[in-house]
Amino acid sequence: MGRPLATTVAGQQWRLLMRDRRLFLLGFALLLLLCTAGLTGAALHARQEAQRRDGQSEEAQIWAQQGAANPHGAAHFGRYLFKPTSPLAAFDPGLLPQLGTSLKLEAHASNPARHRAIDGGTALDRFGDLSPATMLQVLAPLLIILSGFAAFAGEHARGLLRQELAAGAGPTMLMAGRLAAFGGLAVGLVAVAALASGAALGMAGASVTDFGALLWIMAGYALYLFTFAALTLGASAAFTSARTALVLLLAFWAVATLFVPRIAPSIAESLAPTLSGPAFEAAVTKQMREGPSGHDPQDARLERLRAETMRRYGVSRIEDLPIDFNGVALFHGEALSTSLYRRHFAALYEGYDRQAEIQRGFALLSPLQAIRPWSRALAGSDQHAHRQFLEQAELFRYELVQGLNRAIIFRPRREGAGPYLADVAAITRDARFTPTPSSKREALSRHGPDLAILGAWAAIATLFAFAAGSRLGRSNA
Amino acid sequence: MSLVQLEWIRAWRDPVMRIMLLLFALAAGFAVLAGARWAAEREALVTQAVAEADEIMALRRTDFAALLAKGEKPKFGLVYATALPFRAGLPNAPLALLSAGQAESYPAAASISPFIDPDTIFDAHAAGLESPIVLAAGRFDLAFVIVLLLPLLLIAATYDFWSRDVESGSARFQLAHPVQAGRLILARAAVRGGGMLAAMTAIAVTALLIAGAREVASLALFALVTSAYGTFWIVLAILINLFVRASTTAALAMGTAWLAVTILIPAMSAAAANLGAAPPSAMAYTNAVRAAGLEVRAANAVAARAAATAASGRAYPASLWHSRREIQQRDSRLRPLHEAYRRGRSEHRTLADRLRFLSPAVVTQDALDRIAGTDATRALAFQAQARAFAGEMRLLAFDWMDQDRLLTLADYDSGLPRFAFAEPSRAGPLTRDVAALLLIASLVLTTAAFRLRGGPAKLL
Repeated sequence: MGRPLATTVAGQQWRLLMRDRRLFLLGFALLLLLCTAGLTGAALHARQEAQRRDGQSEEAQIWAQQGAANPHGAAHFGRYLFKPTSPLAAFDPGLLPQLGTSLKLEAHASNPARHRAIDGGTALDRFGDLSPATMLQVLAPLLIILSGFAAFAGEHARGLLRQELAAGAGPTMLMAGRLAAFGGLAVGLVAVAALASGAALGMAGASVTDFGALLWIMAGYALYLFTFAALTLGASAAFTSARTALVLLLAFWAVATLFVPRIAPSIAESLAPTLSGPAFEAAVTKQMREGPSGHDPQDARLERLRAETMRRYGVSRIEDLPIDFNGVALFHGEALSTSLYRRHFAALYEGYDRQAEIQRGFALLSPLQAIRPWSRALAGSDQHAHRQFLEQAELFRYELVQGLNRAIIFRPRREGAGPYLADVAAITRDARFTPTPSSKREALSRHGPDLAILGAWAAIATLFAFAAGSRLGRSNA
Repeated sequence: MSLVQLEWIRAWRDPVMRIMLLLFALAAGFAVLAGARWAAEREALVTQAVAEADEIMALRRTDFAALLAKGEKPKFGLVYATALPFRAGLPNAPLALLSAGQAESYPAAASISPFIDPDTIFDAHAAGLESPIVLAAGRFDLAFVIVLLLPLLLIAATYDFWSRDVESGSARFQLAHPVQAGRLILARAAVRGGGMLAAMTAIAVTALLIAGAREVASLALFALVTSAYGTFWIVLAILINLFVRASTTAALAMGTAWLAVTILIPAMSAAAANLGAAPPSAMAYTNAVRAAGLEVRAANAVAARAAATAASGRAYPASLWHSRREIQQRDSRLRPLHEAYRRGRSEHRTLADRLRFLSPAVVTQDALDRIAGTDATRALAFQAQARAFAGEMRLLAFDWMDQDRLLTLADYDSGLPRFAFAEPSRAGPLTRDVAALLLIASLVLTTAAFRLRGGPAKLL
């Protein structure tokens, strides 16, 4: 008896929603925007990826065109890597605009990525983008609030609620039916977004893993939007005035989607500060100069290395070495600077991770703080995916530079002065960089707590809705 | 009791108004603290970058003196002017704590050396290591509070100042009094919204003063921009209240307007700027510069090899004389590439700058960034001045080479030439921003005036 009644209420509410022309237009506009953004984003992504592949191949040709060059000079000329992006980034660009797109690999330095999309911006860039993910995170909850704030309060004002209750529909049944209708609206929005994004992924040449990740992302959004649906109905039932319900819901929306997401990173940064660029470089340079212990100056290290090398080869003069000592010094210097950079970068990334943990705490105030990292991580547009690319690039850089240093160490002995020149393209012929994209499985396990938080929000919001619904029965019976 | 007094009492007795002012004070206080912290860190970052040149020179001086003490002759980088390190830094403007603006999208320092391509002097400072999540979220500074929160609070105070009375029937009673409908509505909106706006502006200025802001002109400009922006929202509330009859509809209309002005129009304008004048490809630029650099190197390969072993017979070795010739060739070969890339970026920026006039929120953000000195124009002026300084330092090194002049201990003690940033004028763009805000507000007010011409009956 109960189920059919709830279904009837849900069906009736659904018809009311569809008949509300203003909401229908708003919803249609949102979906249209979402589909347009998704499909154009995918087309843009496909074009940019093609450009990136061409750019990378051109870069390899430039490296090969160096001809005869001094290997250390070539290591300073360096190579460039242009970062590939996941097809899912068309749905959620995440942190990509703030992360660099190209990386210079050179001797002695582990550079941060450069050419960020935010570089060289104007005041307009302070307002953010309108990606499909942003629409689902910010605009879709607003649509749900506008659709549902009067679901109970409006009917109470018009006296219809009293009639419904008098007709035998229990308050819990009414809430269940309306929650089913509004939950359907939330799931419907997510389903359309998923279909559009799926089509976009197909255009961008995504893999099966990407489609799987998309489903997980959408599961998170379904929980997120269902939370707003339940909170909206709860507020509508808790307050007899539609105006009060609307104002409070809009205030929650503004706090949850605009203010907390901006305050949380600032607080996290002040609680877990990380080094600025110049401070980072200064720390590495100081350790290079004074040694990792702080009491081993560069000159003394070089002198020790010279003595050890001569002892190993059984010679008493550096000129008698069968190898080039300059190459040995460069090789050891590179090993030391690389270990220092890796240690400092690891500390920096740990700082970012600590900041992310602090921000996760703010998910108690706003579910956006859980859906955003969940969505970014699975879309491969978060800091972790970037870090993985940088670490793979760093391994490649080290091998490349040390390969060139080895060429100097074992260079042919010849008469005459002048710099040593070699075919660097031949020396580095086997150096290939093939980055592995970040693992979706790993992202799922790392961000499992975010999904759990979203589940908790949905559960608490549902409990709140039913609790408010039961009070509605007592006050209107 | 006059109309204004009556409305003043109503507003004063409304607890929501007091709560909103308290909320604003808390948000403004936090924003100013966060802004002051950001500005101090920024200043420290620039100071550290600039001090690097002195640190390098101090270390070299120690080596120089040690060699002299041992009776040896200092060589290479210790004596050649071509190895001199210079730094240029963009100092904070007096009201930097107001807005982070575009400061984090542009390099704040430059590492200069006479033989370095002046277009690469910002490379080491182009990408900071700031947390990308913080950059993505944007700083919680006072500009953010003014651009996004202030209109929300003004909307909460005024969204149904008239429609609520129409709904309850009291509007009919008010219009029955011998008072012009236009005056009545304007006075009520001015007292409720204007009072709130004046209080919020005063709170924001006080917060800035407490945080140490002292430049009167910047504070006055800030108050002017905030007032103009707030006036736009009050006038919009008047217009919407003249058209809608229900409080809830007024709330929806004002909410939609806020969403459009602060989120949708800016996002669409940014997308239009990307489509209309897409920024040039950084990949293509990088490859083109590297390929052209290689061409110059290849053309000079034989001469470079010869110079490596040749004797110059002068104070500077033949290899440096060769490098001098080669970098001049390289820079003239690369200049068109750099200029084309800069031109492409400039076209994109110009379009984005023009599109700001579509939204009063973006105009306000732009004005506040300019007052804070964190706008793109100031950052670009720094780049142009630093490049010019790099050119001057190259000429200085060339001059020393021509004179066969090597560095002495006295040169180390007298210090390096220093970069000094000359502030560009902000009067033009700021005037345009304020004029645009006032013009938009006037247009909305004119539309409201047309509605009022229909007589009191149209207002019920």
